Amino acid sequence: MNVSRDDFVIAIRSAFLKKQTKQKFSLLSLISLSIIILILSSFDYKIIKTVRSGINEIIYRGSFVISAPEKIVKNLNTEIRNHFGLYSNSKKLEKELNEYRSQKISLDILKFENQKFRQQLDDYLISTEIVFSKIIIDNKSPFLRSIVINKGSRDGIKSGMAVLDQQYLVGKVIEVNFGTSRVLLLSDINSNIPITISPGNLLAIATGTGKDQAKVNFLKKTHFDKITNDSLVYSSGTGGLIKSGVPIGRITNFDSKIDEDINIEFFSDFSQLQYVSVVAFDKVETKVTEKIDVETLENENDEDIELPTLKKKLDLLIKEKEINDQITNKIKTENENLKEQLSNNQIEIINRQQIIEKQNKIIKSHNIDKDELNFLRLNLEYGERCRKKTFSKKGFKVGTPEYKNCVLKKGRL
Amino acid sequence: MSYLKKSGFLKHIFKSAPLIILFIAVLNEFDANYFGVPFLSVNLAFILIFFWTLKNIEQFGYGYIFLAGIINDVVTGSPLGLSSFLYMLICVATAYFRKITLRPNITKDWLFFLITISCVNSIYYIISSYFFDVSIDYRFLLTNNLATFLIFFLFYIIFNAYYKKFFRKSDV
Repeated sequence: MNVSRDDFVIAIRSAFLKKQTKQKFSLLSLISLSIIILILSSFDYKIIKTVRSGINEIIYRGSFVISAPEKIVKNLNTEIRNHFGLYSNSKKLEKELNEYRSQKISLDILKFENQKFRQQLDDYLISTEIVFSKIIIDNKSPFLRSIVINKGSRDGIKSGMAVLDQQYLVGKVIEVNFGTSRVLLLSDINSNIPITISPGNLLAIATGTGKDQAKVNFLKKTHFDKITNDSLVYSSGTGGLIKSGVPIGRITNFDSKIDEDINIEFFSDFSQLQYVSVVAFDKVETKVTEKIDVETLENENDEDIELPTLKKKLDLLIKEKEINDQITNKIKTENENLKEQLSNNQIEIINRQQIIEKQNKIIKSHNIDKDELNFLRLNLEYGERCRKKTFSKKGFKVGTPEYKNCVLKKGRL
Repeated sequence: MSYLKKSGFLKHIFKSAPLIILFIAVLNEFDANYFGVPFLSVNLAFILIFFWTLKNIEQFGYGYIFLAGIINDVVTGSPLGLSSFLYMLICVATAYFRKITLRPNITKDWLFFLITISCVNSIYYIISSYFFDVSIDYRFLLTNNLATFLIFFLFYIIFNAYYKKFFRKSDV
């Protein structure tokens, strides 16, 4: 028994302490070093942070280069699939586009109303900084779901900033280096985001599951009946880091009678992320005019306007806007037609004026001829009376204006 | 293969291949989930380190393994030094196992691999959860442990063939 124990001790000692002939470092020294690094990395000292940031920068770039072939294969696969589904996708998108167009008008009004209400609550956040960035590492670790982007502190990225894919929330920045940053995805088990589930305006926390979904936490079971499949999930804005109303996903495969867990399916496909926008939200400064507006709204609220009434009002406004839009369009087209007609008419008038001028000229010449004829006729009849005779002082010389005048006056001198 | 004997550079490349694969694995964070198979994630780094440190080849130095651990921590975002520490623990286990084994065979190695990675994963879970407050789903860890254990058999055969071919050891 003693012999076997001795063997064990010798083997352990040999494994730990003895530097093998082929090894430059002993295991014990390397284990000690890794423990020291572990302890140091948990401290928040500036030197450690800088060193860590430098290591991260180098390794991220290296990883990006190493992952390139895999990414090419992945993208090729996606492209081939997209190519084959191009026609059906196009038809689907066309249909969706038509639907979205019709929804856009009502959305604009709702947005405006929403903005007003938020200002009233003094909870209106706007995005002040938007940094577009490319994903350089998106390898899925079995335990941690995160991505690395190519923007860091030099581009104004700060820890805690929200990361969006188009309009959808995908995660938040957890680690910032000089030229790169790490983003914790919403699907990660360590991710907790305050959310609102609509309809019902239920407040809860979305926690990642480590898969491609998140689950709803901190929601009382009494509210479960208000949740249906396709209920929408968006950020609640609690904490002030992310503004409220940023879409996250929808509830799927949920039956309030059977299920204990509520799963959220994200709007964004995290495996297909290529570019993301990193956004910081700040409170909007309320101007004096807006304050007045808020005050009037407060007065309106004093009159106990209930929500259904507001909804009806809103519906009416939407309908009114639709009608107005239609009328505006009609007027626009009529206006354009009239403009065209007007230009045509103007051309016609110019042409006619020219014709009239020509005709007037003709008439004028015709009138001259008429006068001449009349003169000649009268000259035949009364010319004798007006002509100056040899022995008489009366009369005028032929061809003079006085003679013509005399002839026209029928020989009256 | 005669040209391999002549070409010193190619020989060196083939001998360094396990180490190159290890660095690619940690930089690329390779796991079988790339193929979309649910619950099947394999820790290739564990397999590589266990097998090649057990064979104690010249090219697979502890310093390199330590560096690979640091890289792995940065890529996955886990606390810096944690993977290095775990990789070193595997090295300790293989060094010990090498010392006590007189006639190595696949079954013994395979079972010892299960014990080693189970202990290492447990330590990983404990350190992450209790010291660094990083939540890890232990079910994932368990399935990863099991999948890595099962797939080790296949890798053992491949690596062993490679070892016989390029390292020319008579005791395999």
